Amino acid sequence: MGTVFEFALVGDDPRYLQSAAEEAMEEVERLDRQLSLFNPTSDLSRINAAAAYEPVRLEPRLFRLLQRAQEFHRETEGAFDIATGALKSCWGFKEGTGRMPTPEELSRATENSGFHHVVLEERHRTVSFTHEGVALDLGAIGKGYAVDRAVDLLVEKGVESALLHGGGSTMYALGIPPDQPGWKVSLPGGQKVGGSRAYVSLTDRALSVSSDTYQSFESEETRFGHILDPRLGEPARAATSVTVLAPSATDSDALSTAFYVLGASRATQYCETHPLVAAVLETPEGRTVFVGQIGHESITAHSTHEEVEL
Amino acid sequence: MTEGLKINRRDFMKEAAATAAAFSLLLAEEDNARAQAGGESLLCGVIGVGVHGRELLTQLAGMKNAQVVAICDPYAPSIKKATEIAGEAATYDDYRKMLDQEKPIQAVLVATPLHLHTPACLESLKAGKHVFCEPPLGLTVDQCKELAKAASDSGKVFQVGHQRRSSPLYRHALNFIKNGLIGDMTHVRSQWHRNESWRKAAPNPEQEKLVNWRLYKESSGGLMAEYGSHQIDVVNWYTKSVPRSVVGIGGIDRWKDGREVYDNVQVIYEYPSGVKMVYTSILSNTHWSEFDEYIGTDGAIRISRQQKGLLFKEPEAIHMGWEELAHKEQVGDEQGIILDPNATRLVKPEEEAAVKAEIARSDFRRELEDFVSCIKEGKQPASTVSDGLRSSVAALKANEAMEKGTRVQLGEELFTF
Repeated sequence: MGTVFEFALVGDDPRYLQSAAEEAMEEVERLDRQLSLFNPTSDLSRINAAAAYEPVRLEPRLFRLLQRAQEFHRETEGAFDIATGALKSCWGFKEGTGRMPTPEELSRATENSGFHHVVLEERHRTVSFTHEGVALDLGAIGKGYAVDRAVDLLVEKGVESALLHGGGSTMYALGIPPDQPGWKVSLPGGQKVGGSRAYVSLTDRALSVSSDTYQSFESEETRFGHILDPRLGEPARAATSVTVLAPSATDSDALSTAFYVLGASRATQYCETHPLVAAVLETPEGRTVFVGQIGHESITAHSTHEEVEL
Repeated sequence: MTEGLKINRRDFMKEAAATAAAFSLLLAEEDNARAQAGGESLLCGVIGVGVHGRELLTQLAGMKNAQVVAICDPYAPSIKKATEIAGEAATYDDYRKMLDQEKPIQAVLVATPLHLHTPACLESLKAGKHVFCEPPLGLTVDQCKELAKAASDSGKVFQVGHQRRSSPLYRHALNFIKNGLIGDMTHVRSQWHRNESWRKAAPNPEQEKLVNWRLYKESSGGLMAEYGSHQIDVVNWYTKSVPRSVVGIGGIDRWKDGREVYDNVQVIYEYPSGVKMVYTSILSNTHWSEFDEYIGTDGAIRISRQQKGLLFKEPEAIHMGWEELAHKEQVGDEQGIILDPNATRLVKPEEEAAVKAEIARSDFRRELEDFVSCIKEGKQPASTVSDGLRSSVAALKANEAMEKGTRVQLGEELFTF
């Protein structure tokens, strides 16, 4: 997945924790081999190479992940879409920091993008594409899924307290750290409460951040971020930074991208029907909007150096 | 690299003829009947569904012509995880029970702890199954030979999981070596380096040896068995020979946690042609991780992580026209020519889709597809039980050399059965 995963585990037996962490990391490495587009023989690369020509049979866990991605696509009315490999390539965000596509490139990529070109057939557990040029990219959900699988493994091993993150942008807080009510995580960028840096306290909850801080380019004095609006085929502009809290890292990872595309008002509607999801959005106008049952009481402003910085 | 090579090549030819005779009996009518009963799918049982066994299940679950109908493992958490992949398969905690009750199974894949490879494979062969077994064949040379004989006598397909044999890149590199691009091969350098404990989190002391079987000599051959056997097999394959002696030094240097197998092995094999293979595997550092380097008088081929091949030419070696056109990559002070098995492939437009899909398969997937097609078409696998015996004996004898602190001779009798 081209990123760094780090796990911090708390417990009495360091040797046991080391072993459990290694097993969890082994699972992340397995998923990297399976889901990465950097690996030319990953399952995802195989799907992209073959699914336009014949249905590709998938192992059950990967098939369920694609079904989950399909659900997010439906629930967010297309704001979350994993079938945007063609768009990502044409905007130069697949491997680089981006570039302005020609109108022809953009038109072709738009035609080849969108989950409506993807057919999931449950009985035979296959995926197929309606035509050539369609490509899946799990960049907006893969890290979260990997964090969740690592958490599942740690829980199975009896680990009760841990903080895991993938790429610094998606994390899961398992249990509580010693002598603390929760894992304190600083909200990114300019998200402040009363002029001080804002922290959120997490327990058995995931948090993901989407922003264009690290991958963007400028053209004719306009900044273009790497998060694309799949409905328009161009970089999304409804927010500048989004933090999502959710019960699982798969959810928070996918929804942080979706809310970045949807903006504060549609994110609010989503959270009204999904009470376990909450978010903090920075609008293009510089406002900080709290969405859903995030609970202002769990957001605190501290100036100590003990907290985990995201 | 001449005389020893010729003698060994003759042995190979004799053996190939014998194996071909056995394969003429391969697809008996009962196999055909079973294959038809199971439709297009080969009915499989998997014995041992730890991390590696589940990787086998993952690959099989993505194949249209294989169906896992039973899985077996005495460790309940492994079974639980495996059912996420093979949810419809019957579950067992004893492979003998599985073989007794699951008569329609046509093929068994063995990914157990090492000490169970031989008994699980022998029982499977006795039950009339085709077998896929991860290397080595057993914990001792005698076990390996017993299994090699039984597999050879059975007339069933027996494939050893040397996945590099199914790799287009390794086959491509072999063609280059055969065509003299690196001159006379004199030296091989291979390594498998990790920075991890190799220890699993056992839920209680009673299950320590079940979960951490890799750490104890009664069940494991350590790094040489788990990794070395795969990389030694390539040298056996490329040189068409087996090593005639081995020396080495090993130690438990990083993880002093009660384990019995080395976490640091440094071994040298000597091949009849004069080729020396330097093999190193450690659990304390990831620098360069995993690679195989085949070094000759005119150049060297380096394959990293089984994915990327680079050719480094000696300055005075004859340079070919295509080398100018090939993609290059700078590694330290040297420039390597990227070896791409598909770079010069001519593809008709109507075949492009199939070729793209074919290229995007992992070596792991390829070896299992090879296994299924060998059974269905009565072909000989890319990695036979004899290949397995050769890599197994070489790996196990390296452990003996390190333990005794002496050079161990590998006589021909060790590799025959």
